Amino acid sequence: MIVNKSMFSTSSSYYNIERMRQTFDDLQVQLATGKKAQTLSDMGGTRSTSIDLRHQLSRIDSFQENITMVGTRLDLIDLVVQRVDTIESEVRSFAAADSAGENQVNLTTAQGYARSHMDELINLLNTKFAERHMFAGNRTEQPPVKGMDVLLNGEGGRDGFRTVVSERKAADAGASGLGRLELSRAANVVTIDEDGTHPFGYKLSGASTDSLGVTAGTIGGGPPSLDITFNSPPNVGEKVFVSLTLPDGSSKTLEFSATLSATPSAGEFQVGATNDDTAANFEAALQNKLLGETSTTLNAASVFAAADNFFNGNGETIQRVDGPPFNSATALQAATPTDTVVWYEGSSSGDPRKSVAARIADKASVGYGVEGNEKGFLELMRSLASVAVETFSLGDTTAEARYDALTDRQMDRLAESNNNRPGSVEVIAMELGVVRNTMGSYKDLNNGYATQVETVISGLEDASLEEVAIRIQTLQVRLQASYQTMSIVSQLSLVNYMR
Amino acid sequence: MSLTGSLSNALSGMNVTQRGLEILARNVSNAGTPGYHSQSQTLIERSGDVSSSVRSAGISRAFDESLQRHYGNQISSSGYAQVRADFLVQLESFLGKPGDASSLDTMYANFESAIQSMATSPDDFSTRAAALTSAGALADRLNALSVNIQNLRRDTESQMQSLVSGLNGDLSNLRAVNSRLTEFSYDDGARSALLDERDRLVASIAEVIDVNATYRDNGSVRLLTRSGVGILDNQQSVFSFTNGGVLSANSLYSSVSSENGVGSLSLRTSAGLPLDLVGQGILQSGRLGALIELRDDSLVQAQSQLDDIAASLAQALSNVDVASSPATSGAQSGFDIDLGSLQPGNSFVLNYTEGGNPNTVRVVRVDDASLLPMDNVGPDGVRTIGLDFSGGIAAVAASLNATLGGAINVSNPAGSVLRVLDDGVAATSDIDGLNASFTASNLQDGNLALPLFVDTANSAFSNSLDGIGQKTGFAGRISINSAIEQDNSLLVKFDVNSPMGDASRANHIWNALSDTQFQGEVTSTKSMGRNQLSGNVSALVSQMLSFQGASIEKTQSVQATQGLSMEALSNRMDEKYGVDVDKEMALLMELQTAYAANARVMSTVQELLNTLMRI
Repeated sequence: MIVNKSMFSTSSSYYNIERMRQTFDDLQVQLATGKKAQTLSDMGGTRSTSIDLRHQLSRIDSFQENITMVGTRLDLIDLVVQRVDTIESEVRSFAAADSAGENQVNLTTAQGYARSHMDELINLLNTKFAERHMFAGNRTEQPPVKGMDVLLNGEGGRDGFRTVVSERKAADAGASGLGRLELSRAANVVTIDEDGTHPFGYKLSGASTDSLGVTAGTIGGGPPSLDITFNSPPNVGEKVFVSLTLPDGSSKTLEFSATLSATPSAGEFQVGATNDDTAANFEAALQNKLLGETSTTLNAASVFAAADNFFNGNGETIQRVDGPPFNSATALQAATPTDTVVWYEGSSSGDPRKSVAARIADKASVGYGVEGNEKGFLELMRSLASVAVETFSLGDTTAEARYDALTDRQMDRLAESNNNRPGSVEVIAMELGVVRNTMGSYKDLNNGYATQVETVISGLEDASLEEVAIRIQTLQVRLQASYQTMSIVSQLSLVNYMR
Repeated sequence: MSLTGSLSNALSGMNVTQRGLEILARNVSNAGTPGYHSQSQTLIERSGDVSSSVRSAGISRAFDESLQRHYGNQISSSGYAQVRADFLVQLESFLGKPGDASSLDTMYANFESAIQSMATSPDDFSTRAAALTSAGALADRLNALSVNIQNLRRDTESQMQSLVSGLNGDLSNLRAVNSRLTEFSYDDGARSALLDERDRLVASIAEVIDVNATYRDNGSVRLLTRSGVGILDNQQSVFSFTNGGVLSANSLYSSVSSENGVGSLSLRTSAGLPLDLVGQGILQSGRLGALIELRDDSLVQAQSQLDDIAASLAQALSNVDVASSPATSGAQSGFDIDLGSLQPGNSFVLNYTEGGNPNTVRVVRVDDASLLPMDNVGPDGVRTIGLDFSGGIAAVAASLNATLGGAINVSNPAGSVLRVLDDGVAATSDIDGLNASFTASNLQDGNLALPLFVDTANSAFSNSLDGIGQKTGFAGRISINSAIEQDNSLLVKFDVNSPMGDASRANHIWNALSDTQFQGEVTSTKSMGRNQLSGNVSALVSQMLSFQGASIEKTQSVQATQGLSMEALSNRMDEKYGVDVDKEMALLMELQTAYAANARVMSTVQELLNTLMRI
C-alpha cells in the first residue's frame, strides 16, 4: 500500500535526492566489485554473450587441465621408457658375441643378470601414478604384468614360463633327441624325414653339395623328407650341406665334409669303401651332429619359441604344447587362463597410442596410451625371460654353446636395426614426443584463446575505474548542491517571518 | 444605509472570517495528511435593501475528476509493475548472476569440466566422485530453483488471499461512504472528510485491481473494472479466493474446476452472478492482475524452461540411437528399424521425399489415449505424430501407413520391426532416412549412454507425454541415479568387463552434452506460443538465463517508468490538492486584518450608537 500513503506528503525534490543516493550506492558497489552489473538483469544485452564466453572459458580451462595432467603422466612414461631403453642396451652389450667372458664368468652370472633386469622391467611396466598403471593401455586399474616369480614358476595351478619352456624343449627335441627328425638309409641313399606334420623340432629347408658324386635331393612329401644319395665317393674336403629351420624361425646349416680319416671329427664323414658305406658314415655323422645341435642350438631356439608363445603380443594367443606326451606332440594348443599364467593383463590394441586419449581442444585430442605388450617391451621381456629361465653351470659341457646360441638370438632381437619398427621402445618414445609437442602448441593456443576471451568478458563486464570515479565525483557535487538547496528552501517559510 | 445595517455587515464579515480561520486551521493541520484535499471557502455578497453583507456559500474541496481518473489508472499500473518487479527480483536472486558459484551456467560448466577431467582420468576414484558431485550439485540446483519458483507461486496465492480480503473490506467501506454521501444531513466539513475517505478507498482498490470510477453529483462513486464488470454501485460485488495450498509444477490453472490445480479467484456480482476472474481475463492490471500473471504465466514459464534444461540433461546422456537397415521389396526400397526398446516419449524420425519435397515426420510413442490423435507441424517444419505403441508395432504401422498416404508404405514384417518403403516403380517418393532413439534404462548393457539423471525412484526419464507429461516439473524431481551414487565406477564401466581406464563413456557423455540438439517440441497446442529453448544443453541454460534476465530487466524498467509517471502525477496532485502553508499564512494575515477591520467597524458603530443613545 505504498502508493497511497505518500500521496502528497513528500516533495518531489526528495524523490530526486533519493534516486541520486541510489545511483551513488550503485556506483560505490561498482567501485568495490569492479563489475558493471551485480545482477542478472543489470547485465543487459551482453548477458548471453557473457554466459557463452564463460562457458568457452570453462571448457578451455578443462582442456588446459587435461594438458597439465597428461604432461605429468608423459613425464613419468618418458622416464620409464628411457630406463627400458637403457636396459635394452645394457643387455645388448652384455650379450655381445662370444661373451662367455674370461673363465666363463658371464656364463655363471648371466642368469642372475637377466633375472634382475627382468625384475626391473616388470616393475617399470607396472609403474603406477596416482592409482593409474601407465603401461596397461586403458586397463589401468591393475598392474599389467605379473611378478617375475609368478611368470617364471607359475602360480595357483597355473603353469609359468619354465614349464612351458620345458614342454617346448621336449616337443622340439623329440624322444630320440634328433629334433623330431628321423634318419634312415637304404643302400646308398640317406633319407631325412620329419616325423610328422607339426610345428616342432627341425624343419628341413634344403640340402646341397659341392661334390659331383653326391646328389642332394629336394624336399618332398608330407611330412617332408629329403634324400641324399651317394653315387660315387666324394673327394676329400667336398662338402654336403643340410639346412634346417629352427622353431624360433632362425636357420642353421649343418656342414659335413668328406674325410678319409677313420676317426672323423664332428662335421666330417668318412668316405667308405662303397657308396653304401659312405652313406652309412654320413648318416652316423648327421646323427651325431643333430644330437649335438639339439642340446645347444635347438635348445636355445626352443626357449625363444616358447617365449614367443608364452609372452604374447597384440592379437596373439598364449600357446603351449598340446600334451602330454610332449616329446611326440603334434600341435600347439591355446592356453587357458586356468592352466597358464597370463603375463600381460592390460589392454591390447592395434594402435596402443589410441587406447588412452585426452581432449586438448574442442576438436582435438591426443593419444598417449602405452601398452606393456608392445613390440619393444615384448622382445626385451622375451629375451630376458629366455636367459633367466636357463641355467648354465660350469660343469655342463653344453653350457657355453647354449649360452652362445641364446645370446646370438638375444642380440638379434634387441638389435638397433629394430628401432624403426612400430612398437619399439624408440618409436614409443618418439611418438610420445610428438604428443608432447602437439600438446605444447595447443597449450599456447588455448592460453592465447583464453586470454582473448577473458579480455572480451572483462570488456563486457568490468566497470572502468576512471569512469566510475568521475561519475561519483559529478554525482557528489549534484547531491551536495541538492542537499544545500533543500535545506535553504525548507527554511523559507512564511511561518518564520510572522510575528 | 443605517447603522444597524453596518453592524450586521460587520457581523457577517466576522462570521465568515471565523469560518475562514476554521478552514485554514484544518488545512494547516492536515498539510501532511495523505489524501487530504485542501478546502476553501466560497464567499458571496448578499445585498439587501439596507445592507450588503457577506455570506459563506459553503466549503469547496479541491477536486479534479479527470486527474482523479488518471490517478486511478496510474495506481493500477504502478501496483502491477511493483508486484511483478518484487517477485521477479526474488527470482533473479535465486538464479544468481552468471559466473556466480551458484549460478546455473557455472554449475553446468563445472559439470562439463568434471566430465572432461573424468575422460582424462576415468580410473581415478576422486575424479569420478568429483564428476558425480558436480552432477548432483547441478540436479540439486535445479531442484532448489524449482522449489523456489513454486514457493514464489505459493506466495502469489497468499498475497492474493490477503489482497482479496483487504479489497472486500475496502469495497464495503466504500459502499458505506457512498450511502452516507447520499444523505445531506452532514455539514460541509464532514462531507469533505467523507470525500477524502472515498478517494482514499478508490485509490486503495485501484491499486489492487484495475477500476474505472464514475463520480456522481452527490459525491458517491460507481466502480467498474476496466473490462467492464460492475464492482460497486448501490450494491457491492464480493471477491472470493480459495487458496490452492502447496503448489507444485503440476498445479496449473484450468477453467475446468476439476482440473484446476491452483487457487481460484472469483467475483460474485451484486446480481449474484459468479465470475471466474482468471479464466475470463477480467483483471488486466493492478496487484491482483500481476499476481495472477505471475502465478499462471511468468513463473510457469520459468519452471518449464528449467524443466527443458533438466529434460535435456537427462536425455542427452540417456538417449541410445537405433540404426535402421536398408530393406527392399521388389522395386520398392526403404528401411527396416527395430522399435522394440522404445518407451513412451521416445520417438523415431522418418525423412522422405515425396513429389520432390523433403518431409520430416517424428513419430512419438504416446500411450495415453486422451492425448490422441496428435498430429502437429512445428515451426521448424517437422511433423510430429503421436501413436499408441502399446497395441504392438503392427497397429503403429497400419496407422502410420494410413496417415502418410499411398506413396509411403509402412508395414510390420516381423516382431517389433517397422518397415518403411517408397512407392517403387511409380517413383514419386523416396525414403531418405529412418532413425529411432530410446532411453537407456540399464547401466551396464554395453551402451555408452546411461541414465545418470533420473526421475523419482530411479525411473528413467523418457520424456513421456502421457498424463500431464513427464517433463512437467521434472526440474524439481531430477536426481542422480542411486546405483551410480553407490558405485561411481559405473560412470566408466559401460560393460561388466570394460577396463577402468576406458574413457569411452566419459567421452560419450561429453560429446552428447555438446552435440545433442534439443528443440522445443510442438506436441500440443498448450506448448505453442511459449518461448521455446533450442540448442544443446549449454545453449538451453544460456537462453534460459538470458530470457529470464531480459524479462526481469524489462519488468524493472517498466517499474521505473511507472514510478516516474506516478511521481509526476503525485506532483500534479500536490499542486492541485495540496496545502500550501505559505498561502495559508498569507490568508491568515488577511483574515486577521479583516477580522480586526470588522471589529473596528463594529466598535465604531457601537460608539456611534452610544453617542446616539446619549443624545
